[in-house]
Amino acid sequence: MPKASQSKPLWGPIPRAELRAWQYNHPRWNWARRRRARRALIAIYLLTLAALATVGWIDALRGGHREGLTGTLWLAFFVAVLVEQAVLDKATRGLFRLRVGDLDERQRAVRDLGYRYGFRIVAGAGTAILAAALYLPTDRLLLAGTNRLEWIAIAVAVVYLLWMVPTMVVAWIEPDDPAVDDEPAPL
Amino acid sequence: MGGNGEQVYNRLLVLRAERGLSRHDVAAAVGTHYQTIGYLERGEYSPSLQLALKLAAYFGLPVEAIFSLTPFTPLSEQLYAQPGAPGAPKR
Repeated sequence: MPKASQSKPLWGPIPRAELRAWQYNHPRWNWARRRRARRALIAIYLLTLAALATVGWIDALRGGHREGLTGTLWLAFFVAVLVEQAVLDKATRGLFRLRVGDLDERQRAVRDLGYRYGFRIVAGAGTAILAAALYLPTDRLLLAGTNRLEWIAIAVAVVYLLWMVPTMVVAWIEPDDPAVDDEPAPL
Repeated sequence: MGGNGEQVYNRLLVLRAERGLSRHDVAAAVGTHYQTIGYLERGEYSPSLQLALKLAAYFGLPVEAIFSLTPFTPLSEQLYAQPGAPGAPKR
Protein backbone atom coordinates (compact mmCIF):
# COMPACT_ATOMS: atom_id res chain seq x y z
CA MET A 1 0.00 0.00 0.00
CA PRO A 2 1.61 3.27 -1.05
CA LYS A 3 1.98 6.11 1.40
CA ALA A 4 -0.05 9.24 0.85
CA SER A 5 2.77 11.68 1.53
CA GLN A 6 6.48 11.72 0.85
CA SER A 7 8.89 13.68 2.98
CA LYS A 8 11.74 15.74 1.55
CA PRO A 9 14.74 17.15 3.38
CA LEU A 10 14.20 20.78 4.30
CA TRP A 11 17.80 21.82 3.66
CA GLY A 12 20.36 21.14 0.98
CA PRO A 13 21.15 22.28 -2.54
CA ILE A 14 18.32 22.09 -5.06
CA PRO A 15 19.32 20.02 -8.10
CA ARG A 16 19.53 22.17 -11.25
CA ALA A 17 17.07 20.05 -13.22
CA GLU A 18 14.54 20.29 -10.39
CA LEU A 19 14.98 24.06 -10.22
CA ARG A 20 14.39 24.42 -13.98
CA ALA A 21 11.33 22.19 -13.82
CA TRP A 22 10.05 24.20 -10.84
CA GLN A 23 10.43 27.46 -12.78
CA TYR A 24 8.43 26.16 -15.73
CA ASN A 25 5.76 24.50 -13.59
CA HIS A 26 5.18 27.33 -11.13
CA PRO A 27 1.44 27.72 -10.37
CA ARG A 28 1.79 31.50 -10.86
CA TRP A 29 1.51 30.83 -14.61
CA ASN A 30 -1.58 28.62 -14.45
CA TRP A 31 -3.67 31.40 -16.04
CA ALA A 32 -1.48 31.14 -19.16
CA ARG A 33 -1.91 27.37 -19.36
CA ARG A 34 -5.58 27.50 -20.28
CA ARG A 35 -6.05 26.75 -23.95
CA ARG A 36 -7.87 30.02 -24.61
CA ALA A 37 -5.08 32.01 -22.95
CA ARG A 38 -2.43 30.09 -24.89
CA ARG A 39 -4.16 30.81 -28.19
CA ALA A 40 -4.50 34.48 -27.29
CA LEU A 41 -0.78 34.58 -26.45
CA ILE A 42 0.04 33.12 -29.87
CA ALA A 43 -2.05 35.80 -31.59
CA ILE A 44 -0.39 38.55 -29.55
CA TYR A 45 3.06 37.11 -30.28
CA LEU A 46 2.42 36.99 -34.05
CA LEU A 47 1.06 40.55 -34.05
CA THR A 48 4.09 41.76 -32.09
CA LEU A 49 6.43 40.07 -34.58
CA ALA A 50 4.58 41.70 -37.48
CA ALA A 51 4.85 45.07 -35.72
CA LEU A 52 8.56 44.46 -35.04
CA ALA A 53 9.23 43.71 -38.72
CA THR A 54 7.17 46.69 -39.92
CA VAL A 55 8.74 49.19 -37.54
CA GLY A 56 12.21 47.75 -38.27
CA TRP A 57 11.54 48.15 -41.99
CA ILE A 58 10.42 51.77 -41.59
CA ASP A 59 13.43 52.46 -39.37
CA ALA A 60 15.72 50.92 -42.02
CA LEU A 61 14.19 53.18 -44.67
CA ARG A 62 15.05 56.15 -42.45
CA GLY A 63 18.68 55.11 -42.17
CA GLY A 64 18.45 52.36 -39.58
CA HIS A 65 19.96 54.29 -36.69
CA ARG A 66 17.38 52.98 -34.19
CA GLU A 67 16.75 56.57 -33.15
CA GLY A 68 13.61 58.64 -32.79
CA LEU A 69 10.12 57.18 -32.62
CA THR A 70 10.75 54.15 -34.85
CA GLY A 71 13.90 53.23 -32.92
CA THR A 72 12.11 53.44 -29.58
CA LEU A 73 9.13 51.49 -30.93
CA TRP A 74 11.41 48.81 -32.38
CA LEU A 75 13.13 48.38 -29.02
CA ALA A 76 9.76 48.23 -27.22
CA PHE A 77 8.45 45.57 -29.61
CA PHE A 78 11.70 43.62 -29.30
CA VAL A 79 11.40 43.54 -25.50
CA ALA A 80 7.72 42.57 -25.86
CA VAL A 81 8.74 39.64 -28.10
CA LEU A 82 11.19 38.39 -25.47
CA VAL A 83 8.60 38.72 -22.68
CA GLU A 84 5.92 36.96 -24.75
CA GLN A 85 8.35 34.16 -25.58
CA ALA A 86 9.03 33.66 -21.88
CA VAL A 87 5.29 33.55 -21.10
CA LEU A 88 4.67 31.06 -23.94
CA ASP A 89 7.43 28.87 -22.54
CA LYS A 90 5.79 28.98 -19.12
CA ALA A 91 2.39 28.26 -20.70
CA THR A 92 3.81 25.10 -22.30
CA ARG A 93 5.72 24.15 -19.14
CA GLY A 94 9.10 24.62 -20.81
CA LEU A 95 8.64 21.61 -23.11
CA PHE A 96 11.13 23.09 -25.58
CA ARG A 97 13.49 24.56 -23.00
CA LEU A 98 13.92 21.68 -20.56
CA ARG A 99 16.30 18.83 -21.35
CA VAL A 100 14.78 15.64 -22.71
CA GLY A 101 15.84 13.82 -19.55
CA ASP A 102 13.74 16.23 -17.47
CA LEU A 103 10.56 15.35 -19.38
CA ASP A 104 8.33 12.34 -18.92
CA GLU A 105 7.05 10.12 -21.74
CA ARG A 106 3.92 12.18 -22.45
CA GLN A 107 5.85 15.44 -22.49
CA ARG A 108 8.45 13.96 -24.84
CA ALA A 109 5.67 12.76 -27.14
CA VAL A 110 4.07 16.24 -27.14
CA ARG A 111 7.43 17.85 -27.85
CA ASP A 112 8.04 15.48 -30.78
CA LEU A 113 4.59 16.31 -32.11
CA GLY A 114 5.42 20.04 -31.90
CA TYR A 115 8.63 19.55 -33.87
CA ARG A 116 6.89 17.34 -36.44
CA TYR A 117 3.99 19.69 -37.12
CA GLY A 118 6.32 22.69 -36.86
CA PHE A 119 8.57 21.25 -39.56
CA ARG A 120 5.57 20.65 -41.82
CA ILE A 121 4.30 24.21 -41.32
CA VAL A 122 7.72 25.77 -41.99
CA ALA A 123 8.36 23.48 -44.97
CA GLY A 124 4.90 24.27 -46.39
CA ALA A 125 5.30 28.01 -45.93
CA GLY A 126 8.81 27.93 -47.41
CA THR A 127 7.60 26.00 -50.45
CA ALA A 128 4.70 28.42 -50.95
CA ILE A 129 7.04 31.43 -50.77
CA LEU A 130 9.49 29.82 -53.22
CA ALA A 131 6.67 28.95 -55.61
CA ALA A 132 5.34 32.51 -55.43
CA ALA A 133 8.85 33.89 -56.01
CA LEU A 134 9.26 31.71 -59.11
CA TYR A 135 6.09 33.00 -60.73
CA LEU A 136 6.45 36.68 -59.82
CA PRO A 137 8.44 38.98 -62.12
CA THR A 138 11.75 39.83 -60.41
CA ASP A 139 11.02 43.56 -60.25
CA ARG A 140 7.76 42.95 -58.42
CA LEU A 141 9.20 40.68 -55.71
CA LEU A 142 8.47 42.02 -52.25
CA LEU A 143 12.10 42.04 -51.21
CA ALA A 144 13.60 43.05 -54.55
CA GLY A 145 15.82 46.09 -54.14
CA THR A 146 15.91 45.91 -50.36
CA ASN A 147 19.10 46.96 -48.69
CA ARG A 148 20.97 45.13 -45.94
CA LEU A 149 19.24 46.95 -43.07
CA GLU A 150 15.77 46.21 -44.45
CA TRP A 151 16.73 42.56 -44.76
CA ILE A 152 17.91 42.50 -41.15
CA ALA A 153 14.62 44.06 -39.98
CA ILE A 154 12.69 41.21 -41.63
CA ALA A 155 15.21 38.53 -40.67
CA VAL A 156 15.01 39.35 -36.93
CA ALA A 157 11.25 38.79 -36.92
CA VAL A 158 11.50 35.65 -39.08
CA VAL A 159 14.16 34.10 -36.84
CA TYR A 160 12.05 34.67 -33.75
CA LEU A 161 9.02 33.29 -35.58
CA LEU A 162 10.84 30.11 -36.67
CA TRP A 163 12.33 29.64 -33.22
CA MET A 164 8.88 29.57 -31.65
CA VAL A 165 6.92 27.56 -34.22
CA PRO A 166 7.05 24.23 -32.31
CA THR A 167 6.12 25.98 -29.05
CA MET A 168 3.18 27.70 -30.77
CA VAL A 169 2.03 24.40 -32.28
CA VAL A 170 1.92 22.76 -28.85
CA ALA A 171 0.35 25.83 -27.24
CA TRP A 172 -2.37 25.72 -29.89
CA ILE A 173 -3.25 22.00 -29.87
CA GLU A 174 -2.80 20.96 -26.25
CA PRO A 175 -6.04 20.57 -24.29
CA ASP A 176 -6.62 22.44 -21.04
CA ASP A 177 -4.35 21.34 -18.24
CA PRO A 178 -5.99 19.00 -15.74
CA ALA A 179 -6.94 20.99 -12.64
CA VAL A 180 -4.14 21.57 -10.19
CA ASP A 181 -4.62 18.87 -7.61
CA ASP A 182 -2.38 18.45 -4.62
CA GLU A 183 -5.08 16.74 -2.61
CA PRO A 184 -6.31 13.15 -2.78
CA ALA A 185 -9.20 12.58 -5.18
CA PRO A 186 -12.59 12.91 -3.44
CA LEU A 187 -14.52 9.70 -2.86
CA MET B 1 -2.55 11.84 -27.68
CA GLY B 2 -0.49 8.72 -27.31
CA GLY B 3 -0.40 5.23 -28.68
CA ASN B 4 -2.09 4.43 -31.96
CA GLY B 5 -5.16 6.54 -31.26
CA GLU B 6 -7.11 3.67 -29.70
CA GLN B 7 -8.73 4.65 -26.43
CA VAL B 8 -7.34 2.95 -23.33
CA TYR B 9 -9.74 3.05 -20.38
CA ASN B 10 -8.44 3.10 -16.83
CA ARG B 11 -9.47 3.14 -13.19
CA LEU B 12 -6.75 5.46 -11.95
CA LEU B 13 -9.11 8.07 -10.51
CA VAL B 14 -11.06 5.45 -8.55
CA LEU B 15 -7.88 3.83 -7.22
CA ARG B 16 -6.45 7.21 -6.25
CA ALA B 17 -9.64 8.14 -4.43
CA GLU B 18 -9.85 4.79 -2.64
CA ARG B 19 -6.32 5.14 -1.32
CA GLY B 20 -6.39 8.85 -0.55
CA LEU B 21 -3.60 9.74 -2.94
CA SER B 22 -2.94 12.96 -4.79
CA ARG B 23 -1.73 13.13 -8.38
CA HIS B 24 1.62 14.31 -7.03
CA ASP B 25 1.92 11.16 -4.90
CA VAL B 26 1.21 8.83 -7.81
CA ALA B 27 3.38 10.81 -10.22
CA ALA B 28 6.35 10.85 -7.84
CA ALA B 29 6.05 7.10 -7.28
CA VAL B 30 6.13 6.22 -10.99
CA GLY B 31 8.52 9.00 -12.05
CA THR B 32 6.22 11.06 -14.21
CA HIS B 33 4.75 14.57 -14.23
CA TYR B 34 1.60 15.02 -12.15
CA GLN B 35 -0.19 16.52 -15.14
CA THR B 36 0.41 13.28 -17.02
CA ILE B 37 -1.56 11.44 -14.32
CA GLY B 38 -4.35 13.99 -14.90
CA TYR B 39 -4.30 13.39 -18.66
CA LEU B 40 -4.39 9.62 -18.04
CA GLU B 41 -7.41 9.99 -15.76
CA ARG B 42 -9.20 12.09 -18.35
CA GLY B 43 -8.46 9.49 -21.04
CA GLU B 44 -6.49 12.05 -23.06
CA TYR B 45 -3.30 10.05 -22.96
CA SER B 46 -2.59 6.35 -23.30
CA PRO B 47 0.39 5.18 -21.26
CA SER B 48 3.36 3.24 -22.54
CA LEU B 49 3.64 -0.39 -21.44
CA GLN B 50 6.41 0.66 -19.06
CA LEU B 51 4.28 3.31 -17.35
CA ALA B 52 1.27 0.97 -17.19
CA LEU B 53 3.41 -1.71 -15.51
CA LYS B 54 4.86 0.84 -13.08
CA LEU B 55 1.36 1.98 -12.12
CA ALA B 56 0.20 -1.63 -11.71
CA ALA B 57 3.19 -2.38 -9.49
CA TYR B 58 2.57 0.77 -7.45
CA PHE B 59 -1.05 -0.11 -6.78
CA GLY B 60 -0.20 -3.80 -6.34
CA LEU B 61 -2.74 -4.87 -8.96
CA PRO B 62 -2.56 -6.68 -12.29
CA VAL B 63 -2.39 -4.34 -15.30
CA GLU B 64 -5.76 -5.50 -16.58
CA ALA B 65 -7.38 -4.38 -13.30
CA ILE B 66 -6.29 -0.80 -14.07
CA PHE B 67 -6.24 -0.56 -17.87
CA SER B 68 -8.60 -1.96 -20.47
CA LEU B 69 -9.37 -1.53 -24.16
CA THR B 70 -13.10 -1.70 -23.36
CA PRO B 71 -14.95 0.50 -20.87
CA PHE B 72 -14.93 -0.79 -17.29
CA THR B 73 -18.14 -1.87 -15.58
CA PRO B 74 -18.59 0.27 -12.46
CA LEU B 75 -17.14 -1.51 -9.42
CA SER B 76 -20.40 -1.23 -7.46
CA GLU B 77 -22.21 -2.96 -10.31
CA GLN B 78 -19.59 -5.70 -10.51
CA LEU B 79 -19.83 -6.38 -6.79
CA TYR B 80 -23.46 -5.85 -5.89
CA ALA B 81 -25.65 -5.82 -9.00
CA GLN B 82 -28.62 -8.19 -8.84
CA PRO B 83 -29.79 -9.77 -12.08
CA GLY B 84 -33.07 -8.28 -13.27
CA ALA B 85 -32.76 -5.10 -11.22
CA PRO B 86 -33.26 -1.81 -13.09
CA GLY B 87 -29.88 -0.65 -14.36
CA ALA B 88 -28.33 -4.11 -14.03
CA PRO B 89 -26.00 -5.13 -16.87
CA LYS B 90 -27.72 -7.04 -19.69
CA ARG B 91 -25.94 -10.25 -20.55
